[in-house]
Amino acid sequence: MADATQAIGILQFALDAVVQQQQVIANNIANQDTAGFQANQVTFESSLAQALGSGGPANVQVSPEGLPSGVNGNNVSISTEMTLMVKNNLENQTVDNALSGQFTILADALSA
Amino acid sequence: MSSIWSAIDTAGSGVTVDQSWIDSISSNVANMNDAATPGTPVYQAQYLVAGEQVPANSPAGSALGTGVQVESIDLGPAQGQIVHEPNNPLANAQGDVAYPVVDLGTQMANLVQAQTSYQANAKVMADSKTAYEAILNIRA
Repeated sequence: MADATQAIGILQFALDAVVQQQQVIANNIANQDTAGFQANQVTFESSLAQALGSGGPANVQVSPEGLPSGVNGNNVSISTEMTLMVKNNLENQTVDNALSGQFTILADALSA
Repeated sequence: MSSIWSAIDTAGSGVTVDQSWIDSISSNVANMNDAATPGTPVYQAQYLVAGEQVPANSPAGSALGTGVQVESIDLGPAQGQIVHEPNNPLANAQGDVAYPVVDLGTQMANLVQAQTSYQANAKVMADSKTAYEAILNIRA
């Protein structure tokens, strides 16, 4: 039982991260023509891996992408953002399916 | 402006700015041949300046951005360009009229840029909707 709730906790963290990632990508794309805007990215995978390995809290980090800027000081690459968005959507679906799976296991256990 | 569906709001701010951008371009192109007597007001081309929306309670760069907004509208030269057209009823004593300074090539290039930006934001809206729907479908 502890394992199922732990798995749900991990998946919940991952879901929070991909939702934030979606927000950051949307903001990057909305600001693709804003002079001086620097694109951000969300990283959580390494932090989660570390937390799972050695314990301690995992965190979601928003940091600059750091790609080279164009003439107006903007560094949004629309192809990068579109690729990230597709990837992020697949991650989201994966996490959602896994969560549904965990809840199904819990429901089965409760009705057994 | 932030909500649980914030990615859709963010993309919405993008299409709103792009729409204003397209509006300003169409206004510039529509008015590019507005002749005026030199010395009287002549149409000034409008150029949108976009700026990032940053949540009020946090310093720039530290938080999830919430989209884009029109920061200001820059205007083209007020005196226009002087052209010698003695037969124009608006010409002054020297036979000169003033035309707005609008470069059609620049306007068309901006239009293409605004259009692709609009499409990208619309795509984000559609994809974010799919993502949120997937979350709503989590069930036992």
